[in-house]
Amino acid sequence: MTEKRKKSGEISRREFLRDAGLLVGGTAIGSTVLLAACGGGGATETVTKTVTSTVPGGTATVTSTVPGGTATVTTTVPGGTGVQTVTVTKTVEVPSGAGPVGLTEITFTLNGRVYTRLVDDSWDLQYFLHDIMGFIEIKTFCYRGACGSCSVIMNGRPILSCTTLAVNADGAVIETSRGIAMSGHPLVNAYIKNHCMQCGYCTPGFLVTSKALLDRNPNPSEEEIMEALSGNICRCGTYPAHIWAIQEAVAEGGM
Amino acid sequence: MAGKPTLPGYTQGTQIWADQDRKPLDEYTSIGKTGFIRKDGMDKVSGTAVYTRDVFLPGMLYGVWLTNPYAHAKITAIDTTDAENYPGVRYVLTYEDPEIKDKLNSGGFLPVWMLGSLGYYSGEPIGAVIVADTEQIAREALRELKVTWEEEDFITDIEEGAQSGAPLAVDGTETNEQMMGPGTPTVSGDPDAAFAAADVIEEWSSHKLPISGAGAEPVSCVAKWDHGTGHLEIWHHTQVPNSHRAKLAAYFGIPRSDVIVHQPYNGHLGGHFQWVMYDCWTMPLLGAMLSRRLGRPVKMMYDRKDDYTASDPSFAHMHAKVGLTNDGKITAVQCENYLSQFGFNSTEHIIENTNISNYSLLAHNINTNICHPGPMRCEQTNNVHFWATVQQHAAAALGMDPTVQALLLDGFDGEDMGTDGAAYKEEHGFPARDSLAECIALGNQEFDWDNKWHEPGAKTLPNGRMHGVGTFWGHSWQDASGDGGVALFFNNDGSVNVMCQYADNGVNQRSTMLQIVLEELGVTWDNIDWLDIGQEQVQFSAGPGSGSQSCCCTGWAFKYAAKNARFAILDFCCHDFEYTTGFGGGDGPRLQAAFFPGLTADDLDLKDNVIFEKANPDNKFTLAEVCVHTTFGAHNAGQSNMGPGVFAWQYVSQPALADSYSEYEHHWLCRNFYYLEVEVDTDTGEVFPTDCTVVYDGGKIITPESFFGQMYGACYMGWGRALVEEYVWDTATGVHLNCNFYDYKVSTIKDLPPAVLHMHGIETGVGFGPYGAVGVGEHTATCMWTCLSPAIYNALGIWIDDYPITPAKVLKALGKA
Repeated sequence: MTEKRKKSGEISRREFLRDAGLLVGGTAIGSTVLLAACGGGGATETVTKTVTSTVPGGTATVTSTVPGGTATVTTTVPGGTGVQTVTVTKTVEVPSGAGPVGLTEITFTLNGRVYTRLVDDSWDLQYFLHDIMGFIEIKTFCYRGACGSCSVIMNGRPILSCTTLAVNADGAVIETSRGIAMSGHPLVNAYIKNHCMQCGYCTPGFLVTSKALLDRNPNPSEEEIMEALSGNICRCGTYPAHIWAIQEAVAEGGM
Repeated sequence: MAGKPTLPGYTQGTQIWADQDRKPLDEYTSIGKTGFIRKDGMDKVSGTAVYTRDVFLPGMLYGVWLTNPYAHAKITAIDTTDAENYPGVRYVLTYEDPEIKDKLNSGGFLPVWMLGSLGYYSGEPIGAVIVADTEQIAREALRELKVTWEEEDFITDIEEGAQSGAPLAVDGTETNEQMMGPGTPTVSGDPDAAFAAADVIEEWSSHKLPISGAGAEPVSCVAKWDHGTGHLEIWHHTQVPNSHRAKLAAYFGIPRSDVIVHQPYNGHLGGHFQWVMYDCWTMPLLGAMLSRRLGRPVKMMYDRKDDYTASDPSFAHMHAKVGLTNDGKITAVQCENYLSQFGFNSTEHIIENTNISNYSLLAHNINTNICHPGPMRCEQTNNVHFWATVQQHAAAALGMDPTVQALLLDGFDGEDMGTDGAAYKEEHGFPARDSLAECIALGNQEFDWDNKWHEPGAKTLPNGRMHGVGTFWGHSWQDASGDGGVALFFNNDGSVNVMCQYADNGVNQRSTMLQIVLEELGVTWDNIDWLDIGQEQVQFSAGPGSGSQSCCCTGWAFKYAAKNARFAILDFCCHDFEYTTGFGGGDGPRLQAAFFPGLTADDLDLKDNVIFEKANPDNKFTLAEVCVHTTFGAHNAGQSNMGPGVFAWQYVSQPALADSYSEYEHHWLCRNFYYLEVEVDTDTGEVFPTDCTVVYDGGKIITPESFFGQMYGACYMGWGRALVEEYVWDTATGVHLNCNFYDYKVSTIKDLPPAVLHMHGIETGVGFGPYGAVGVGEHTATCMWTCLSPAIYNALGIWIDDYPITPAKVLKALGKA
């Protein structure tokens, strides 16, 4: 996919991840601030940007991505009314060895099946699995890691797929709620029996979090269950039912 | 009733209400029983349940909106050149498009354009829609739009908006006050005289900030215009699919037969029936228009920020005065309330719940430049809010136990529940039960009220926190007005399908309605299910609010459709019938003797999928043995095992409350009582819940797990509304600031520990729904939060009538901030 790297002060979810995620991933791409913290290095490049303010005047922080680097620039947008357009120029350090964002081939195991796919380096895992692969159980709720509805188990740990890049799934073993259901895990019937769902939109994320909890703690206390589920939001308020279901699965499932 | 239509399967609601057809509460076989494995359980747990967000069609494009960055502004020019040239962009639609230019989609108190150039609140979708290969590309291309905005004065405070000379929220209006409310006071009796005679007069003001209508699933809509078939298909969050069907057909000038509206599972709890809600009506219209132009399906999408453009209509400032006698009775009420636009009313519940006969109640509905209303569980917040403050302040003014005073006030329309209510129940065939008295008796015991209630500010706990308790009581929702239809049929193997398009928004209709069918029909749980494929193409629909009216309106349709089907299949068994064998009729119709010759349907029974003679149970046939011969419409010849089976249906139309058509006086008889116990940390202002007890009269509880699930679930929503949920605007710009689940807080599992929740149900059978039931889904979330203010008053001796009651407000009230 071809992208123009020309943006305003707002950054999209995937752009946010592209910076933060790649830094976490240990590669050389990051903001100048982050690069400085990591030691930076490499050549410099001058970046010129057109900035459109979406607030009526004031200070705007602009994050601009160029091949091999990201510039974070703070600029003052003239006051007055209407959208303001200004041009800012920034010299950023471009780490050596960094290349343009592109496509990467990844191989991963999902619910016991092995897949090899080309993914855009900017894709987050939730988008890739939900929109591209069709695993609709990985729901879009908060967009930015606040709700737990996109949770999957990756390499034994529950992770938020919306704040994980798809490229980071290379070599990973992933389990979704669909896989948990297909495996006949005792949590599944316990969830149904205890009416853990109302609208049901967040339920798969809760199941994944609960399964991950039992994987690492087969007999959790109520306090430990609450702690584990505290990152999952349910607008319907089904929370107590999850505790009952987990306790029932432990009691009846021989966890 | 004479003169009313008597079509087969067509029933007027007042006839149903008069014929409650109830069994003793403990004699039901399916109703009220636990353990039915909910039909949507595996779908929702596994995640294979398809929501609108999950709908993907071949060749589908993605549409997103430009949104208004100001509180009040107009677009004076827009240059789409760069956006149109952005790689992956397929179309840019603007407000200047001839098909939609200056076209109102619907008129509310803020105009809703198909795609306007005037923005009345920040975040409002206006001006342009960009359609691209992906949502990401479309959103990036939004930044390529060169938009020239002209800001206008704005108003975000409803009370300031009511003042003379205030900025006008809506262009072309002369005042911000709208006429949704009474406009003039609703007056009963002689309030002036009653105030003059009162022993005690109490006055106060209370406030509530708006709360979010943002649900779990960001709103979206998929539109597919098929140029080959001429069909328009819509997948959308809605409670009113037939209304959408009608509107789409009318707008595009095509027959309704060419319009199909699908209702996937609904992860957005908003009402989605309001004509003022942009996403509800305009999203499918624009999607259909774009799909028709582009020849490809289009998914119109809000992102999380966009989804915060609708709020619960709970923005209210209320100024109230009550007159009391020393024995605890409220003799007069006066108020002047200010509500945000389309804020519903705020004074109805005090009329519907009490014997107060002297009042002057005035509510103003004020246009402001805040977001559109989007009711979520539910739209009655203002009514509850006002009634709550009246009962709570009235009790406190006398230092009276609110659980005692409640019984002095209970009634309806100025009538007393104890006397007039008893006569009404007897006249209308309801059980002689006193719902409120039963709620209080149980609640006081379970909550240990007598030991927990104390003088305000009188109890300091060993941990240094202040202890307080608060209560609220009111009527249970029954929403028994409206219409709904359902059909069901026996397949040739004896299994049963129901057809009814409904909005699955979390109250478990999918299973609850089938429990009603089981009760009436006599089949087993594993032998019945919904028919999903193609059901959108029939007119059987759960009516205008398969959320609010699911139980009390659509439930009737299910009950009587099942009764109709039962009669149809039993009657079929009593007649000779013809059938054919083989393709094309084979060797011609054959005559088959009746399964139960000489008997009538009344002589037969159907239980556990077996039809048998009541007087001789050994004379029996399984449903499968019978249904292999049934065809569409019993008694007709058909090819055995190939026909759709016996088919029955019911449409129910119930008039609203006490309507002029029926002259049926409809009162709310089921009550519920809420108790909240808190600890208040006077150093930090934090409030900790230690007991939340709810006693809810469900009339007749149909699915206990869902009944209690709605109660405790709504407690979380209520607790969030009490403590943390609020929309925040920048006072200088009017721009909405907290449009995500980080900055807009909602309750999580740790905010309200499940151990503090104690839910109790009672069944008096005095509801207007089937079996005497009432609704439960919306009430607790709308009521529970009101207990916090009196609980804090009980703890501190200080009223904080300003929701949400944040730690900062507590500290300010204590003089510490």
